[in-house]
Amino acid sequence: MQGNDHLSPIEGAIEEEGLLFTRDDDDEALRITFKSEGDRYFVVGYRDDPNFVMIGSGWALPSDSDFANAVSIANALNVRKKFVKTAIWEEECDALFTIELCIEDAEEVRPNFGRLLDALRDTATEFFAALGHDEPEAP
Amino acid sequence: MTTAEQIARFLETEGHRVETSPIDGAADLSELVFRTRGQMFSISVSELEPNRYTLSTAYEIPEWVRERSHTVEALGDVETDFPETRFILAHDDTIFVATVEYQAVDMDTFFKHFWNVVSRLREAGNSAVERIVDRSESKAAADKFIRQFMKGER
Repeated sequence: MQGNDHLSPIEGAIEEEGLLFTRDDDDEALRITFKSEGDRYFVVGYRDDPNFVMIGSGWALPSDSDFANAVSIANALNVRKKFVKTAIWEEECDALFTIELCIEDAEEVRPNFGRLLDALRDTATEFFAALGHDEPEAP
Repeated sequence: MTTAEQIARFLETEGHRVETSPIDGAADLSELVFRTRGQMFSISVSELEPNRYTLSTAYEIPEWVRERSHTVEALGDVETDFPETRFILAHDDTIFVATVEYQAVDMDTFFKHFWNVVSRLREAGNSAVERIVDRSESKAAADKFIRQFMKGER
């Protein structure tokens, strides 16, 4: 592993949540992947921007989804939901849920990590329920 | 592979750390402890009844309501709303334990519904906490007193 590992406090937060994780860093990015209740999540940071951290999850849209409806639901969630940005990737037919934070130190994320995970989870649940699919499809 | 080992493997596959230990030193009884959404849960399973599981989680009763007499009544009310859940007061009534016994047809069925069972147990526990700390009854009593008080003539 290379230096400037500013995501290590988030590893601690994931451990405190009782979750397992894996690291997949390269020269530019720091990446953590983990699961909670079987759903996959990621954390991304950049070596040249230690003040930025992104926590996210993503699922494939159900094959019978109305794309315009998916975008409309995402927009409504973006207006209403705290923290979470919902994006629809048309080409990949994916729904992406992310939280982007500007931090001085990733320790700031640690006491709020459970709340942020809940926000991601709840937003995805509401998105797929509004889409008419209670369970998101596997990516 | 034992039933406890299969459950532990399932939980780890789902992303969760698990601690497995024998119950009271009995080789056929195991307890698996894991954490999700900030709450500890335990699963008790016997190798003699591999499709029968007990899932439990504990909640602290806030100190300021411990002296109030309605905790048992509140837990009874929530048991009516969640009939699969049982509540037990423990540790000198400082905590209550919410428990559901789950009888699965087989291990795959257990795994398929596992997080729904956890979710339902969490919902029952949270509902019980809300009911225990509910101040609306004392507010209603105060309102009644004030209404009676206001009836007096000047």
